[in-house]
Amino acid sequence: MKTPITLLFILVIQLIGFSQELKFSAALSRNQAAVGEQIKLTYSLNAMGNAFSAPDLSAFDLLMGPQQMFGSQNVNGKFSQTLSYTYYISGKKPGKFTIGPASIRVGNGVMKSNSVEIEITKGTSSNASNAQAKQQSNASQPGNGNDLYVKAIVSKASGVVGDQFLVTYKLYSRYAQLNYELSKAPTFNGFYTEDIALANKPNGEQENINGQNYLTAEIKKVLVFPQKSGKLEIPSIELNCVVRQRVQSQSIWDQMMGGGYRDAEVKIKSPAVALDVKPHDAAGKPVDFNGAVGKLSAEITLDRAAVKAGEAVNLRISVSGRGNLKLIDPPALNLPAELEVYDPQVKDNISVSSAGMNGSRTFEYLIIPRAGGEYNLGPISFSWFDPEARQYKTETLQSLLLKVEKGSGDAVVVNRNRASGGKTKAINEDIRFIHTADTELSTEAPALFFLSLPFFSLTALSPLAFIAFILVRRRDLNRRQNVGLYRMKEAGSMASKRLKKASELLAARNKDAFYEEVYRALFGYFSDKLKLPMAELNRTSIEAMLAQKNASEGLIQKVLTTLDACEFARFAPGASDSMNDVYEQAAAIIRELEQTIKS
Amino acid sequence: MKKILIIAFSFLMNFTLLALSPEAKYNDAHTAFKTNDFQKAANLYQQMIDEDSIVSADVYYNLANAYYRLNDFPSAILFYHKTLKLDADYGDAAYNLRLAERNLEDKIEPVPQLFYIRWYRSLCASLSTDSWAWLFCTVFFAMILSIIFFMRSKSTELRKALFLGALGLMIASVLSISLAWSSYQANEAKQRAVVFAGSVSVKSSPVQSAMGLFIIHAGTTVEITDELGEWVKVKLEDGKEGWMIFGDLERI
Repeated sequence: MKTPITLLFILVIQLIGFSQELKFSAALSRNQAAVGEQIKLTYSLNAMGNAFSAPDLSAFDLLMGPQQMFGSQNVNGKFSQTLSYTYYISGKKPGKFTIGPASIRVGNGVMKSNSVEIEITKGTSSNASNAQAKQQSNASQPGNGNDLYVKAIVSKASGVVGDQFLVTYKLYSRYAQLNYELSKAPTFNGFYTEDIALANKPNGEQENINGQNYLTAEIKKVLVFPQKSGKLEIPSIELNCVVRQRVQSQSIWDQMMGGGYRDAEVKIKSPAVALDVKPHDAAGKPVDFNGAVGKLSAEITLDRAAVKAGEAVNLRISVSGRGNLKLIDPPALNLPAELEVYDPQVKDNISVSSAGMNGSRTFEYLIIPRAGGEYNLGPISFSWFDPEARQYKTETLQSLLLKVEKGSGDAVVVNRNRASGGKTKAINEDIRFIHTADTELSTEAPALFFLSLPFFSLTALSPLAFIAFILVRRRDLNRRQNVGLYRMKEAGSMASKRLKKASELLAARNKDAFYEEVYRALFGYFSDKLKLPMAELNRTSIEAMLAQKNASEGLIQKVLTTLDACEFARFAPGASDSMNDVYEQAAAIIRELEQTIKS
Repeated sequence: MKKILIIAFSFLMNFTLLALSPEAKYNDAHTAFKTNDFQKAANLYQQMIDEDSIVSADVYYNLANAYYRLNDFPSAILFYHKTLKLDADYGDAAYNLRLAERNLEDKIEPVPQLFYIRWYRSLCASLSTDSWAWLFCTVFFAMILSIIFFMRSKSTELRKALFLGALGLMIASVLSISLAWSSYQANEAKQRAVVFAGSVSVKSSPVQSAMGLFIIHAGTTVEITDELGEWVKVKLEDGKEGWMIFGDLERI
């Protein structure tokens, strides 16, 4: 029982070993090469063969070969053998060439290989040895100059804030293999960034730059949106690359095998790229512009035009197209304050790819009218800047009518909302409007009143008025005080005036008037001189006052007799002969009293 | 000769047609402002000030509003200040100035003051310098009048009332003249300016190589306390002081 299983096992092993298909294939080290550049052409057969016949290689210079190699291997009991023929060739002239199949005899049959295609491009150096020498010299200093570099490619050099730029970091290498790892990712300042997933070929692609062929690989792709204006910088990326260099080997075996290799690590860094970002045009900027930039379109819709109070309505503002969709803020609505408006829900359907940011962003505003009526929600507008057309565009809905039927119990809600009283509710703050009433357009600034001449004079007016008042008042007081003194001083002259009149009456012999006048002259004189009011004046008071004023006894007696005589004559008619005497006496009394009473 | 006259006349006609009168510009600017063409409105108002040398609080105020709408806040602030300098009782300008200053990068907090100084300041700001001066003149005159009546009157009751009245009026006149003086110092005598350069590093001394003390941005209002060549010494509302180049400022 045991033996058959073992046998079967061995058989299976054998079958696997020998069921290997025969394969004869041609391979090129590269599909694209410059004129004069070395290309390795290898034919390999996974069996033993002989009578190898080479294809026509007349379109190429044969640099070396054919090198025949045979190897056998036993891996995990699996036996394999390889026979290969290697040619080193270089292109003579640019163009597309097909290298025809080669043939080899295996056993009794003849096998044909596949044919390979190669593109020969214009080279910088037509001399093969020159190119080789260059490679040799470069090998000693890997990564320098143009052989290995990384570059940031920006889709455009300038734009406005919010515009989108595609930044591609690309590695260029003239070495056969691309081995790299990211050592420092770029950090973007002043940008909003979106990474783009790479569908990268691990082996890279061939690219011809200035006649040189490069293996290229996209390292990183970023969609960037500048957030501010000015000179912004696309930062650099840093890579660690491993390049395989050919080194001159001492060993003959190595030389025969195509030379020795050495792996070297090289650090490379992409140069920073300046980006000129302009601010949005100030001219014609719509009031509601809030930074949306791109080739966009907007749609404003209301899901229902008629509702009952308390029911919800959806106001939808949908922005679609290619632009900075993820950066668009909800537009501010200026809806009637009677409506309850909730913060908008943002729904995105946005894809980010090398083509940019595409898709749509929708803002859904939930509106609940609390009271019945007809409301105009408009004008509602959304503005954006189209960088291609270089102008602002606005989607405006002038009027959007919402009919609200009275619902049940909406009055209660309204009352609750209005419970705060008659105060006006500040919804927003804005500057006050300009003054358009006619105004005086003078060319001079109005003079300041404070500290001006009118100010000082007006201020000085009050104290001046006060001083004037004081002066007038003092004069009045003085006059009132001095009136007695004045009259005393003037008493003599007053009396003489009266006596003069009396003398005229004497001459006219008018007796009654004469006595009257003399009497009044004397009484007036005493009143003034003795500072006694007329009413208090009589014989006794005159006598007492005169005595007080140190008048002599004879004088007092004389005064009294004269006064008596006057009185007597006034009331007793007839006696007219004494008129002269009375006059003389009165005059004498006044004369004497003037000398006696000085003050 | 006749030809020359005709040509000269037509030139003159053209000239008069081209140069709008300030009144016409004023009305055109209103129309432009109302139709949201703020740039045109601003240009017209600015022309009135620059070319016709109009000095009017209303024109300044309207121009400031146009600049506000154009989001040119430093210019708006400058002209609101100019309006208020011309007419300290211009309430709308003070209101709009407060709104415009909200849009600035610098938020300068005034140095906190003791409560009575704050009261005095706000009382001082409630009326213009000239209003305080007029008030002083009136109150002072009333005081003198009541003293005169006090001296003339005979009745004791009346004299008592007039004496108290004169005393009260005296206190009021001292207060109003000091408020007028404070207001004069704060508004008229003070040299103020608005920063127009985007951001300025204010230096410790008037040389380019001096140490930068602090940075202020466009639209900030500063007080000029000293001048030295092209340098001016500025003082901020929060008490910070330093030197900057006059070219970065626009005097109010």
